[in-house]
Amino acid sequence: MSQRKKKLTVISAEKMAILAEKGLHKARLTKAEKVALAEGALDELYVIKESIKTPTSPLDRQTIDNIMATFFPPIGKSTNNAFMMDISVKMNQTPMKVVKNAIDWMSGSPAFAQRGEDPDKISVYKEAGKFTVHIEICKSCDRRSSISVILTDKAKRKTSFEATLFQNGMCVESIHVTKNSFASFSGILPGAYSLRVSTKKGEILSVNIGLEE
Amino acid sequence: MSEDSKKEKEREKELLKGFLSGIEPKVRIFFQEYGGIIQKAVSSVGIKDRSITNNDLFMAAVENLLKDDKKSLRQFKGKCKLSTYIYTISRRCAIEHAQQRVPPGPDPDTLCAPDALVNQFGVKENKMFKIALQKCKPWEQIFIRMMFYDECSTMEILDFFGWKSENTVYSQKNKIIKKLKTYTKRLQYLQVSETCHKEKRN
Repeated sequence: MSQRKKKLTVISAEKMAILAEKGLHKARLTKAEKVALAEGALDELYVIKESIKTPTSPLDRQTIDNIMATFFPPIGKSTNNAFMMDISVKMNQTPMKVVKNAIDWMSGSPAFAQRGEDPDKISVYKEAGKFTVHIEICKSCDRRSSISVILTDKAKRKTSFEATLFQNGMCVESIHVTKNSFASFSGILPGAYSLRVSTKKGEILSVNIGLEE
Repeated sequence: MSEDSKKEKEREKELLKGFLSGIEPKVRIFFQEYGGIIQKAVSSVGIKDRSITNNDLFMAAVENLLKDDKKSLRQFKGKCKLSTYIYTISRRCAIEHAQQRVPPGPDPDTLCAPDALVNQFGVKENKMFKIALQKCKPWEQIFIRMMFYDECSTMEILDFFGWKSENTVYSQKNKIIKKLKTYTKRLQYLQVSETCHKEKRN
C-alpha cells in the first residue's frame, strides 16, 4: 500500500515574526501551521524571540559602501552618458609630474591637468553636462595622497552628489554629499583607482586615476 | 496603539518606501537602520562548513532582499515590526544558503516521553508517547514541547498563549497530561488486543 507523503507546512516569515513578538493568540495560525510549529519550528521561534531582546549594533560604513558598490554600481546606471577619462600622476616627484594627461573617452570638452602655485598639487577640470567637476590630487606625507572632488553646477550652486573610489572593482570609500560641493578622500596609497561621481540622476563622470610612486 | 509605536510605524513605512523606490541615498539609510539586523540574523546561524564565511551569508541575505524586485519586502503587510520581519527572512535565507553546501543530517525520529514525565508513564506507555502526542490538538503539542522539551518558563508560556494567570498554565498542563495518559493507555490496549487477534488467527 502506498503511503501518501506528508506535506511540509512552512509558517510564513511575517507570521513567525508575529509569533515572536505577540504570541500564539495573535498570529492566527492554521491547524497545519500549529502542527509545523510543534514539530520543529519552535527552535526558530526561540532564536527570533531572543534576538528581539538583545540590542543591534549598526553596520559600519565600509560594509554599507560594499553593499552599494556590489548591488547598486553607479556605472551600471548611466555608463552611456558618463564622461570617462584617465589621468596618471607620479607622486614622489617634486613638483608632481603628470604622466598621462586627461583624455576624453567620449565626446565633450577636453580635460587638462593643470598645476597651480603648489608644486604638490595637480588639478583637473572637466565639464560634464551641466556640471563642472574639479578633481584635485595632493601629495601628503608617507607615500600617501588625497583626492578631492568639487562639483558645481553651471550657476555655481552647491549640489548633492556621491563620489565613490574603487580599486580593482571594489569600493574603497564612498562619500555622499548633501547640498555641498566638496568631497575628499585622504590617505590614499599609490595604485590604480577609479573615481566615479554621480548625482541623483545618474553617473556623470568616471576617472581612472593612476598614482605612481 | 501608543503615540510612540505610531511614530515608529510611520518611520518604518517611510524607510521601507525609500528602499523600495531604489533611490540610492534612501537605500543607504535603510541599510544604516536595518543592516545590523541582517548581520545579527546571519551570525545566529551556526556554520559547519569552513568554506562559508559570515560575509558570504550576509551578502546572500542582502541579495535575497533585493531579488525579484525586492519581492520579500513588498510582501510585508506591517503586522509586526519590520526589524523582526527582516531578521526572520535573513536568517531563513542564511540557513538555506548554508544548507546548499552542507545538507542537514537525518532528522532523529525518536520522541519518547520527556524526562519530567517518564515517572508518570509506564515503560510500555512511554513507547507510545509520540503517537499519543500527535493525537493531541496542535496547540497542546506546542504546549508540551515548550514546557517539557524546551523547558520554557511558566511566564514565557503564559505570554505566548496570551493567558492571563499562571494557574491557567498549570491547569492546562494537568489536563494535557491526563489526556496523554488516556491516549497512551488506549494505544497500549489497542496494540495488545491486535496482537491477541493475530495470534488467534494463526
